[in-house]
Order: sequence, then structure tokens, then C-alpha cells
Amino acid sequence: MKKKNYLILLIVLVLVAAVIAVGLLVRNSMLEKEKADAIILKANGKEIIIPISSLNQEEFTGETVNGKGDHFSYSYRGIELKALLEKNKISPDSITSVTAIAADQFSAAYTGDEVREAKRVYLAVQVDGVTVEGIEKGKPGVQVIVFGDPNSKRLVRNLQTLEIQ
Amino acid sequence: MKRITARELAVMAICLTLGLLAKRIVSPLTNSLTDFFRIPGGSAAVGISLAFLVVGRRMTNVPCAATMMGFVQSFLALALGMSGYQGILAVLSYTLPGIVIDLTAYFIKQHSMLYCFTACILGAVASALMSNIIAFHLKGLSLLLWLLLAALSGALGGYIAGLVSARLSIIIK
Repeated sequence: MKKKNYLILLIVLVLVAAVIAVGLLVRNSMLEKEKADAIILKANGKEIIIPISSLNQEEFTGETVNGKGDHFSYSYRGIELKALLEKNKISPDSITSVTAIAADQFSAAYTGDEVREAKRVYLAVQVDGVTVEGIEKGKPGVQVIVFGDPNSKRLVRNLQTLEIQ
Repeated sequence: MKRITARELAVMAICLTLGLLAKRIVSPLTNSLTDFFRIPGGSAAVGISLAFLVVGRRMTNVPCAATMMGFVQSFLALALGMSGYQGILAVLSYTLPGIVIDLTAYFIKQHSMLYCFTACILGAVASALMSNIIAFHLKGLSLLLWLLLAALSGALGGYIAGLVSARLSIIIK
């Protein structure tokens, strides 16, 4: 092999190594960025990253109940949890429960029957026209809305992960 | 100024067409790589396309052969809807690598593997830089990766160009 060919081979190898190293750095930082403005759906050992902006699908209204038993009625924008699962090819009929985990690790569980019930469990990105704020000020967030549920602690704010069982 | 012969024009026409075709064929494959790294596709395919410009330059000996081929390629790309987001500015991103390939011939002996290799790498990097200025506006590490992929594809394209043109020069004299 000529000296020049060795040089060419060396340059190609250096370029391949540089592409792999920089490529993985870029990919990791992009994934972090994507996760920051998204929620993660964990099902069947897979992780699906769903951008928060894609959750703004429909308008819905309903009554929520706080810990004192007071009733509140708001207008929301977001998506029904059942519809989100179907959109990601997860059959609501096959699930037993869904756990919502917030950015501060607070979590709440919803039964399969609740999720399957029409117009019951939603993910909201806007309340009365105001964008739901995430854990970082000024950034969008997601809140779980369960209509007619007297336990207001299940209205998880700053939703980060949904684990499907 | 040296007159361009009909044979040289034919070689240039074939090379520029093959270059465009190669880009179209290789793009889906290279896009799977750039999708993995989450950067726009394109830079990883440019080197294979430029390989044919280098072959054309080496086979014809016309001082501005690559520039002319790149210029004509840009209008073909516009006509075939291959210019993407660049629109009419694709003329710049297609012609610039041609200019770089022609200029490299003034510094490195044209009939060597080193010329093909260097010209293709520099051409690919110039093309990627121009596309970034015109359309993609990548910064930092993403831009570095974009340019490295262009350089890598240029290196592979240059090596292929060197091998092909060495064989062809025996057949076509």
C-alpha cells in the first residue's frame, strides 16, 4: 500500500471517529431538548416522546372538585387520555392502570376503567385560554384533569411521564 | 483560451447528470444517518454527488469544468424540484463546490488520487457551509457535525472519484 493511501485511510478513520463522537453528543443534547418540551409515554418497555405542542387538539369543559368539596368549571384545551393512547397505538381496552408522574416526582394513578370512560380523563395544555405553565417559569406544561373526581390531588400538574400498565 | 471539444462537453454532461442522480439515490440512505443524529439530511450525500464533478474535471482538463457542471446542475435541480428550501439560491450551493474543485486543481496535480480526495472534501464542505448559510442556520456542535458529515462523504466520494477516473482515463483518451 502506498504512503498516500495510508494517509487517506487515516483521514477517513479520523473523520468517522469524529462523526460518531460529535454525532452522539448532538443526539443526546437534542433528545434532552426534545424531552424538556415534551411528556414521555412509557408502555410495553418503550418510551414515546410526545411534544407538548402536539397535545393542543380539542376544547373541552367540565367540573373539577377541590379538597373542600367546592366545584369549579373551566374551559380547557388539550386531549383526552384515551385518544392520546389510541393515537400512539396503545389500545385502552388492554390497560389496567395509568400512572402520571410529575416533574417533582409526585404521582397519581388512574384505573383502566377511568381512562376508558368517555370524557373523564384529559391532559390539559390551556385553562380558560391561559397556557398551563410547566415547572420552569414561562415554559409550557401539562396538567391531568379528571372530571368529577373529589380527590383534587389526582389533578397532577407539571406532568412529565405517563406509565401505562 | 482553449476550445472545449464535443467529447469534453459530452463527458461533462454525463458526469453532471450522474452526480444529480447519485444524490437522489444516496439521499434516503444518508438521511437515515442524519435523522439518527437529529440534524437535517443532505450534507452526508453531497460528497457522492461531487465525486462525479471531480471525475468530469479530471477527465476533461477544462479549467472551469467543475464550475460549469455545478452551474448547470443547479438549474437541473431547480427544474426537477430538488432544490429543497434553498429555492433559486441553490445556484450558489451547487456552483460553489464546482469553483472549489476547479481551484484545488491549481494547487494539487489534477491526475492524482490526492487531488480527487482533497477536491471532493473541500467541495463538500463548501457546499454544506453554503446550504447552512442559505437554509439550515445550524450552530455549534450541530454545525460541526453537519460539516464533518460533509467532509466524510467528500472523502468517500473523492476516493471513489480517484478510482473511477483512473480506470476511465485508460479507456477514454
